[in-house]
Amino acid sequence: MDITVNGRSRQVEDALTDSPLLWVLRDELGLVGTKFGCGIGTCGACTIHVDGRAVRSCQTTPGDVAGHDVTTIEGLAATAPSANLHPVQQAWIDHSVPQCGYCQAGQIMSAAALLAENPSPSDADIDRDMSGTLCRCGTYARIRHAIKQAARNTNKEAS
Amino acid sequence: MAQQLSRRTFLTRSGWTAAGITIAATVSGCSLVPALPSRNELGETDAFTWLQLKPDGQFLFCSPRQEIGQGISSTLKLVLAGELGVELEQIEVIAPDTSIIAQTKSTVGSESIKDFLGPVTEIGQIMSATLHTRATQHLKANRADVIFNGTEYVTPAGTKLSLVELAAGTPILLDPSETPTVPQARQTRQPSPLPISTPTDRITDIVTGAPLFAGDVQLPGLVHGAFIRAPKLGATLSSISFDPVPKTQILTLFFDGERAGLVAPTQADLMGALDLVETSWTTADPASQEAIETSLTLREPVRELEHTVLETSGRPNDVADIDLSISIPFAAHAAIEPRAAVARWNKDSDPTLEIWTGTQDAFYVRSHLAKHFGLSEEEVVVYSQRVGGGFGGRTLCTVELEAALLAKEAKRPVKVHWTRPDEFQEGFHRPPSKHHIKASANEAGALTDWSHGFKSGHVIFTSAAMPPWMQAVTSFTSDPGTARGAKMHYAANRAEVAFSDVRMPVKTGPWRGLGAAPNNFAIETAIDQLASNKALDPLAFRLANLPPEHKRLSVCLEQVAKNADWQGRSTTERSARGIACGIYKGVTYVAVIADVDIDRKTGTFRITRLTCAHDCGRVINPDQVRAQIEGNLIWGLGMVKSEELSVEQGRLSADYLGDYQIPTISDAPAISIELIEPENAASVGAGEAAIVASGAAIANAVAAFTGQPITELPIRL
Repeated sequence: MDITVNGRSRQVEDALTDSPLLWVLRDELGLVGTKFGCGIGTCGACTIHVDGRAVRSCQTTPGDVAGHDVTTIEGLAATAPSANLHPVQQAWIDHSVPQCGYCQAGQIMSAAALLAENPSPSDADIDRDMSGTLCRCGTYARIRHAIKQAARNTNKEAS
Repeated sequence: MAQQLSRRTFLTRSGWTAAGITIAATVSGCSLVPALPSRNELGETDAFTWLQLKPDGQFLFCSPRQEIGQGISSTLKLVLAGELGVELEQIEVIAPDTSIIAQTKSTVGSESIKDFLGPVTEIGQIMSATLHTRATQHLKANRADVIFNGTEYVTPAGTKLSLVELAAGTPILLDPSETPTVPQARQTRQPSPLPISTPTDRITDIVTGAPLFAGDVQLPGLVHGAFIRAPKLGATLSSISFDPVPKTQILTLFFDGERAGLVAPTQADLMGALDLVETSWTTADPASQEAIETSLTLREPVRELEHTVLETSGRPNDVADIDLSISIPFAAHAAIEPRAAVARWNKDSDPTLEIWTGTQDAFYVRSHLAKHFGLSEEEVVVYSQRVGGGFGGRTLCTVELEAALLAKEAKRPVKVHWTRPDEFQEGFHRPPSKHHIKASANEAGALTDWSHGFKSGHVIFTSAAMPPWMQAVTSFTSDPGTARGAKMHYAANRAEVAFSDVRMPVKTGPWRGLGAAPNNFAIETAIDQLASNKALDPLAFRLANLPPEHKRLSVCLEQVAKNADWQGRSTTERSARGIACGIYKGVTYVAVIADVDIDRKTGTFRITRLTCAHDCGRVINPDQVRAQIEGNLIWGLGMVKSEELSVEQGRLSADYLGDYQIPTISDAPAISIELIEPENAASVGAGEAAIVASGAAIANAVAAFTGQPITELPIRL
């Protein structure tokens, strides 16, 4: 079968149609930026976009996403209108958000999907939307600041 | 080769002397002695193996310290760039690689700056001087006339020699015999220019999803393996059948009479196969939470406990103003990255065994595996990968051995990626502890009597790290991890502090701050309660009872009070404030004020702000230090708000992160931090300090609201 990942059509063995998309991305397609954290959708480390919406790839199969657009952290920058990085990625660098970095692909994908839906989220919006994406290093205060900066930069560019 | 120069002298120095373990090892003197975590001192020429100029003109720094999220790579790179006179981009930092650098101690104890700033500074200076000398010879100019502009050496006549030309096709390594001075393991020289905040090294790779972690390693022919797990603690396998698993899903079966595992073509096949394997188990002596609680219960007087931490000539009075029993549960590291390792055996080439893993102690993994498989240490190479959260959890050899066993059987490279249940059930945890504190103060508000006894599971001498016979030997020695932070920082005329360490049926070990987080929580809870009992302001009471040698802690307390505008506990119908402080490893000072909103009706509370004053001496990379403090504050919050692990029906109570709640973004308060840098104060650790105060500050706020001290964690209203 074929699935579209980061704008490219990729072939996936039929036997893997019902396997977790997370492992197909990582082991079959070599896209290891999407991380394994729990396998049951409770930590958010494996968050990707399907048609722009945040989805847990460990709870999704190639069969589920056939005919839809899958974006992983490796392809996020290309979805931004200009520049080398998505505004969320740039804000993450500007605020030096990551410590160990393991959860950050999931954090960034969740944040980018939030901003696509809500261009100016409040603290409460951020907390509500991001509370399922866990960070053990405790980078949350910086995540909040970075999301707001990304929102400001995106809105500035749009206006 | 520089590594040959240093390794021989160095290996003789290895040993775990600080913990007293070498004695036990010497007495036995046989091959039963297991490899132990690397606690060696730095050898005279070890640092020469860390830095080289590559033929492409870039510097390669193979760090002696693992990157576990503490940002050490960027800070050491910053120091080196200053010494070499080059831009950050000209230095590539890689994690400890046992084939490149001399054996180095594990990345623990917040020691990276304290112990490595000096040697890294010196190695930068020596490399800089060596290259300058060589360039001068090439250019046939006077040394003083040759100027280095960051990429080239230039003579007054305008002749240039680039770093690439200087290397002339071969890497330049340092040779101790060529240099006038050798690095010393102390802060001998001041790095420059400082301080500058730099982001985490490889931050662009992190935010774009580049491969960085052990699980990301791809090798030709790589397959996936896992071990079959016991359903209960201490259970033994009595029968196993792989028959229900479709043959296409399994490449190799492993069974050594005790342990069973399998190897599958893909991770998806592996997960499917694990679900189908049929096993039966027997449990001889099931573990129970009740038995654990009983073993920790303090019945005897403090002076009868096994290990004395503090004892004044005058004994504390039995009758005391406050009498508190405090109970602290098991806690998990719960790093978001489950442990992972890749192993490859080479039949016809060196090294015999290669391991890719995220570990805090690559050299311990190497010696452990060499010992297990009867190989020399040179036959095993460990390539460290970035660690997806360490917190003390990556100090032993676990998943690496599993990957090596399965790869040997499969005759192919194998990746083992632990599942989340593996992390809880097979990992090790912070031991639980019970504390009994009695204390009194006189009418003038001076602390007079302090008696603190506690019982705890082990931190260093644990079943996770050593076999039963060695645990028995160590029972005569105080576990230094359990004892950490137990010596109270206030002055009392009559004081006694002692503890007993208790064997747990659960694997325990180092967790951020070791014993200091629970011990200081107990101390700061009791001190706060004593202030309440005497109707004194908890800040004033603390300041009044700190001895002069802890002036730096008083300064932190005064600063945090000023920054948070402390006016007392400020209890209202729906909020309160709490304060706490502590000293980590005798060198890092921290004070925290917590603002907490409490809803009496729903019985819930939310921490709205944490204000922190922190003194870890001279700061090299302020933003990275702040990041560490932020993380510590959140860890203290998790410790008192929600984190709890127990034994239920013979196994750990959590399999997934829903069963063990670490803080989420909705728990995260506003944070303000002030870094205090006394003049001429040496740089010390920041990775585990603030955790000792933030939990107690929060608990003291809740206690101010309810009028009852918090005696059991996590807090339940």
